[in-house]
Amino acid sequence: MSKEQNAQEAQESIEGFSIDTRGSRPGFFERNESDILMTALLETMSQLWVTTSRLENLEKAIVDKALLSPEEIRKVSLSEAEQAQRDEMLQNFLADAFRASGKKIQSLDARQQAVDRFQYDDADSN
Amino acid sequence: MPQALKHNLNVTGSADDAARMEFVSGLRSFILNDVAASLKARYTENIEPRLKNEGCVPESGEEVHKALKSDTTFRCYSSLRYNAQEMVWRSVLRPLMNARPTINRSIEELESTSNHRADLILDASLEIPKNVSALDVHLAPGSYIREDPEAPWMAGAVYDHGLNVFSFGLMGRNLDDIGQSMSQYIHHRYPSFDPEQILDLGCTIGHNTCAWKQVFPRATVTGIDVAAPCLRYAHARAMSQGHEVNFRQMNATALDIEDSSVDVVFSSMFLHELPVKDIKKVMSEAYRVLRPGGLMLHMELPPNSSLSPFDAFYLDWDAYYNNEPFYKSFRDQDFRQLRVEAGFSEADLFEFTTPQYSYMDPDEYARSVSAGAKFDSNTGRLAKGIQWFGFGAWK
Repeated sequence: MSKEQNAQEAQESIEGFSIDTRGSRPGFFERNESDILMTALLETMSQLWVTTSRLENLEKAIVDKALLSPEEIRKVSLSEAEQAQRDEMLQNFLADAFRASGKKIQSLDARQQAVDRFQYDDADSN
Repeated sequence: MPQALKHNLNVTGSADDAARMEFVSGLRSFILNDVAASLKARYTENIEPRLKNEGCVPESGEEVHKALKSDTTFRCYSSLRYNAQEMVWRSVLRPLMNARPTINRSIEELESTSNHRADLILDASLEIPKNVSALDVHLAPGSYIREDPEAPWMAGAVYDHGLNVFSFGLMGRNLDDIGQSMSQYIHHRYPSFDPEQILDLGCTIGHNTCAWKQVFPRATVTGIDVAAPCLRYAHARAMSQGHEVNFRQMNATALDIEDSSVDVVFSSMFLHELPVKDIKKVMSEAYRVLRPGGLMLHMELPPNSSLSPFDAFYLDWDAYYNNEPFYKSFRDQDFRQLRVEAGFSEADLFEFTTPQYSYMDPDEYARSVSAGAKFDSNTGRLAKGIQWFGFGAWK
């Protein structure tokens, strides 16, 4: 990073609302993507905890206000149609999360070659 | 886990903010206890024996670092810890930005209603040293000198709330366990010592400064720092807690204080943030301003020479990955020589370790001071069982 960039970042960081640390981040893993994924994973975990914690608070408030008992909350049941919808949601969620699993992974070079081959084949067919 | 800060500047934020702070604090506790233990086990059970077989056992923290750099456990530990550190600041910055008007109102109220007779003296002409301005120390955006629009105290608030998340409940109920433990140690160990003037160098938000006022209420206590935003916040924080402690913007390497006028020169976690040439100036200045019979005391991380190569590496991590570049160079110094070169006599030097005062019964603490706590691998290491290390000299 140039001195000018650093100075500009410093200025923004001090006078503005930046929540980012100045300067470069260390790459702990062999591939930068792994560093990026770790950050994304921890942020996601953080958000998951926020959701878990707030849900727990909400259930506690419902119980404390005597609107429902813990047993009643646990026994909340869905209709058949609602349950089917929930099952589908779960399967979609799992499919989203594991979309990379089982897929053939292609190297960037192989991908480029495949695209090039397709283009040339396509051109030849014309 | 984060606790409600015991003053009127406390910001908890929304339910989301509070849950996020709780997560980050818990994450740090997990990393610094469990993951750190795995890293140590990985080193002692796998890496060190392998290196031994190859005839090249690391003899310093630097060599351990080199041996671990390509290890997956080290990479995961470091990545987790680095990200968690960023998340500490991010978790508090957003709620603090939203709370600017509330904090401003609290400060105005404190200033208009308090009978506080302590000073806040800022020096706009003071040059901010590069070790504070050139990088975001501890990865905190804006370092110690962040002043957001309409929040001239922002760096102080970020430090206070960030420390609360960072320390996962190990810094005392008022985040002042270091100040409490150090001042209580002196009070118990030297019961006839009755200082009149106490100076805290690099005091940031004055959390540890105020502890000295509590233990020695007769004394005039002054905290100094180069960072005006921290001092503004420190003054308001002290007012809110009813501590009459003065705060002055000043560089500890060139004290605007008369010769032989102070009884205690204290610092906590300060020296390791300075280049070695400045540490030497701080020591010399301390000697100059102390009265004969006065006390210089620095709470710090232990020197590398007192630690195993792995433990030295473990503490040096912050030098490389937490924007604390002087951490290692300070701890590589000969602490005895630093004091003797500043003018202190060899016979008047001392070093000690102390357990955490905040979490002990006062009688039990007094007994531990008499017995003398033993230096161990938890000394200076933020995890369960931490002990603080202090070193200093009498003039």
